[in-house]
Amino acid sequence: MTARPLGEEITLPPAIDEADRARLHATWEPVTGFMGWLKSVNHKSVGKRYICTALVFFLLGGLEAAAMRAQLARPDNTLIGPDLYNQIFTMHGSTMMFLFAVPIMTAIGIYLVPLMIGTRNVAFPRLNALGFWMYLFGGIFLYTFFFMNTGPDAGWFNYVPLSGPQYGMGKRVDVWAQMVTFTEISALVAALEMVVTIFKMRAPGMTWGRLPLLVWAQLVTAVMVMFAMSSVATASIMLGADRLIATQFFNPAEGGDVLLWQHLFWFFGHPEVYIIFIPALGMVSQIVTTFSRRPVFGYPAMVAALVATGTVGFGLWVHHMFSTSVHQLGQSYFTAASTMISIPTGVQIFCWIATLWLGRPVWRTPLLFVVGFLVVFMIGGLSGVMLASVPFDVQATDTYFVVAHLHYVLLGGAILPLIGAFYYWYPKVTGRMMSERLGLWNFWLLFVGVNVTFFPMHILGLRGMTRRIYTYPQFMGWGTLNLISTIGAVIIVAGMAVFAVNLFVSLKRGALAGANPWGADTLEWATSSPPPPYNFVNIPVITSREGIWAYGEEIPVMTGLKTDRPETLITTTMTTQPLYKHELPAPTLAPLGMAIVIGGLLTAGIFTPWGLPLGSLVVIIPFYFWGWPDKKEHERNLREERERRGEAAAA
Amino acid sequence: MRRVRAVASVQDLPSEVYGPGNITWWGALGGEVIEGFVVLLGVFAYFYLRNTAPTWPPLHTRLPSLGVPTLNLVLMLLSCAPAWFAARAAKAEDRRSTLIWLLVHSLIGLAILVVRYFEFFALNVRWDASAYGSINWALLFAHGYTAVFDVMDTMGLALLFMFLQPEEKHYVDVTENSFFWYFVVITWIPLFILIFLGPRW
Amino acid sequence: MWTGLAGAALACTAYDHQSVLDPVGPQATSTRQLFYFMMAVAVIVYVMVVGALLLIIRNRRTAVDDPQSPAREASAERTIKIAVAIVVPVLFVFLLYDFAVARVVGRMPEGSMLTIDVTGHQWWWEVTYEDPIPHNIFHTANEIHIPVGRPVRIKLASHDVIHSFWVPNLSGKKDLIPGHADDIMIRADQPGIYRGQCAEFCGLEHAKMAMLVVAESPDAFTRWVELQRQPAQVPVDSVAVAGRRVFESGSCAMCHTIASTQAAATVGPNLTHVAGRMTLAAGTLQNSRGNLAGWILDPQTIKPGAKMPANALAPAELQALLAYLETLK
Repeated sequence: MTARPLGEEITLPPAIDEADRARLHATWEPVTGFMGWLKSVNHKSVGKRYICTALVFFLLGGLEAAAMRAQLARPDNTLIGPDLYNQIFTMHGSTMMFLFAVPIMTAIGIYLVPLMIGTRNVAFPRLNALGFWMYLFGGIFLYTFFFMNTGPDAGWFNYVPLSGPQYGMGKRVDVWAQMVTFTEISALVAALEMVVTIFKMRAPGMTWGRLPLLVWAQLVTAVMVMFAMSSVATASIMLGADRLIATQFFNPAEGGDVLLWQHLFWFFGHPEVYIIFIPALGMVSQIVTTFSRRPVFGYPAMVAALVATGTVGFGLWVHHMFSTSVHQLGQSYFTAASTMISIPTGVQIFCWIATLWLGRPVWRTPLLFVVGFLVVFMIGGLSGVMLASVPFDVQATDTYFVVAHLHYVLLGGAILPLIGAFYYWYPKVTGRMMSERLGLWNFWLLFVGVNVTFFPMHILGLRGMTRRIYTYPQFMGWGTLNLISTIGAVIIVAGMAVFAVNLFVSLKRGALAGANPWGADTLEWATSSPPPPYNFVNIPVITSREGIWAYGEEIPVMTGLKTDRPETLITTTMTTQPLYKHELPAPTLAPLGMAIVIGGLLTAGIFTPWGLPLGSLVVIIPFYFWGWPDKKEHERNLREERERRGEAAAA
Repeated sequence: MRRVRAVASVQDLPSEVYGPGNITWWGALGGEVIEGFVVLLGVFAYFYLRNTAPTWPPLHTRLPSLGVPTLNLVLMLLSCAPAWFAARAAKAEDRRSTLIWLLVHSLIGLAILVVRYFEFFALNVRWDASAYGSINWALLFAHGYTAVFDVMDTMGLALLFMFLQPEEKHYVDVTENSFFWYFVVITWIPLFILIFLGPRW
Repeated sequence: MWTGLAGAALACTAYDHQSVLDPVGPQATSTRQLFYFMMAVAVIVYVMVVGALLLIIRNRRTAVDDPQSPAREASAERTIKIAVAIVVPVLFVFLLYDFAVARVVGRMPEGSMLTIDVTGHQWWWEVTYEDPIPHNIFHTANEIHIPVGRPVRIKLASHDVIHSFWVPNLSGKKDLIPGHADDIMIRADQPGIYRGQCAEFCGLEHAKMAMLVVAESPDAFTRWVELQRQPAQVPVDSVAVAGRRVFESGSCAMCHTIASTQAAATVGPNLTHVAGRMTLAAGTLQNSRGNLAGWILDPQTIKPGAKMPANALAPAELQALLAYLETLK
């Protein structure tokens, strides 16, 4: 097989019935304007909203980081006092982890997965919209309180007793706990969505062995979310209860245990970082495939690696607690597990490198970011394996060594691939290409900035600088490295600014992208850029793991879905045989209404325990609007059912 | 330039199926996994706290009474019957039978919730008295909330069946609702044993 | 202003030994060795993998190459298997070495172990030297003296929130967790002053909760212990006597103890021998008259959020108080 040239744009072939296009357009986007936007349950609208909101929180989290670096640039600095600093670093961690990283990875899944598996929407579109509104309201909730000087200030991990009723003054920690409730509802809803969609709505022929690696990554992540988020929900509700209604979960004086919090939190906290990292691995696989002009080498190993990482990731959490009184034998198990988890990721890295070697790499910005990811992430991965060692960890934990490690793996392992993914899929979402030249500047500024900011932190940690300190004395000699780190932060800001400029300017001035400007293999490139609201005129049939690349002169499709209502195809789980046709819901305000009521309930809930029972009663109202069928649709369905039964009786 | 070729038509496929083919079934299953794991974490916390406590229940704490909780356990086991009959009537698309069983299910469900309120007091310990009290109240509460959801769902379906001619998908929803209810009852059995019988051993 | 002055005042001290890479005890030494081993392996792995990547990038492919040729795929598969076959045993070796170090670090010859109780407070360290004879038990704060070469068990407890005891030159950190009793064993094999810092976020002034561990010869240590066991010096000078009155009748006595005076509160650090300490406010200030004055008058400017309130003292009172405190060696 000869190598495929880049940019072979696959012009969309004509549909079986071209008139279908107009009918589908009217059916799938019946309401326009502002109301249409509010009522939308289309996964692409919801996905874009999630992404834009997440980018705003990324900016806010970045500003918080900039403030911290400004304060730490010099010893004995008085720019920011301890109270504000403690709120800022808590907000930085909470924003980045809960309000940016998980939502944006989820969002990319929500946008891309239905397209990649050849269907028209997610399984529960209204629930999807609810997830977005809950996330948005959770973020607004947190920041409103922060701007009123009631931002959480006990760290993003809120260890008790500091965060408990005795030492955590005011409503600050309650605000954090409730923000977690908002965002975990959102994440759980999206995860449920993702699992059911991937299980039941794949195009015919897309068997498990032909699923794109990004979809595998999103599936593994979604399953992880279902278990991890439950844990943080349980923990945060227990903490809120200890503070509001005097339960004693974490109070040693009444039989509770301080370490119970840490176990529950880190049981979530460790998988959380894989929830952020694994989707990025999926994006890397797609980019490597396209720009090597061949599928990633070792597909079964890649899938096994994703599943192994996701599973073993649940067995590591105690490595965050090595300096507590956890028993030594138990610690050894967690050391072994924390070391072994590097193996699946290592296998993935080897496979990507093999793919680049086997293929014909084409150098565009997305691939550049993938290389950046490999170079930067590996440093974080290796420092992580070091931290798996208990004796070393009890020296390095809670110092800037860990700050260096976590930023290398998050910035290297998640953000660099994410930005590469933006460059890669921007043409699909907007119909225009981003600037390659700005992309080059974007990449190098970030690459240099990340290393200049975070490498010195390894040294600072080993030289005794602990975490979460608002200042440090001059005589410790940490000033120079901190200053270098701050300069690096300025470079990162410059890199992000170039990214922002590229995003905005390309909207108007980017080169027009066709359906498949990269000549890629996955199904989202088999429809227009941006995709129509119904994704595909006819559901495609998959013949091979190589997706579009395997199609010859003819593209096989299924016909028969109705065009006068939003309908999609549900297939069987194991063999993707067409099973039944499912009518998706029309645009509605019910999810927004539900989110407003639940948001009100949760906000009241930090002030009074009656928030929950009263709110639960009020929830019945949007519940009704959600569940009660629309009159016209109802009559139409009954009529058609009668007709079908009449035909069956006659036959 | 490529062509598109129609391989098959899905025109004659049904618009609903019952059981694990249906995405609603998977949605219910997902909800069960999430809720079940929350309860499981509560159980882990229970054992963790019990392990670190010198006595369990703590000194001067009365054992939970058995009367009211046993009543609720019996009610829950019995409630599986109307749930099962409702699902069967729904599969047969018999509106009247389904409605009757949904109403019976709703009534028993409401009764269970009322008894659940009294079950909290059958614990014989306040939620703020000790970690023992807190974790028991938490388990009852977490499980109780899943029951609240399903009872609300059942009542909503009953109203729908009462005032509207149900479509196929509403019959499917009834079967999925029963599927979720079995989960609520099954998870209660080990919790009952843990909370009300466990401290006695 | 005080912060700047305090900073300047501390600028020329040698209380900056706080490093993982400069071990003076057996645990820190084993750990540093382990770290160097891990660094070496990590660097080798990194150079090989990234090197391979960069080499591949550098090479240009010719137009006729087939990206999916079976021969090249077989070669890639072989290479990956070899790479994994090398990495996995290396990781196992690392694990075995690590477990061995963990065992060493976790043990200490019990022998004539000295036992010290350290209780963490927001934001200072309460130190009690245990002794089978109750009369010999004494209390101090923020500064621990130990004899060189003798193992020391430090029993850790917390008065309020989680803190963490960390003196990197000696050993790794251990958390002080309310409701959990735990301990850490250290031994300094060289004399010196080693700085430590609270390493678990504990609130507003977590950044300013340092301590000094002074490792000295057994004779010097014994002398220090004898001194600490003495009750407070009785002031002779009239100014100092006046100062003691200021202490006992003012707000100082509400929080601090000076042994064998009327001040016996335990909210704040024990000040019986405060003049003999090198620093004040948990390592924040060098112990000098000027700094002490600033701290007493307005602790909130130096350590905002510290539990010690400002004290409005008339100049004469302040001078008397300082004079008295300076006698408490």
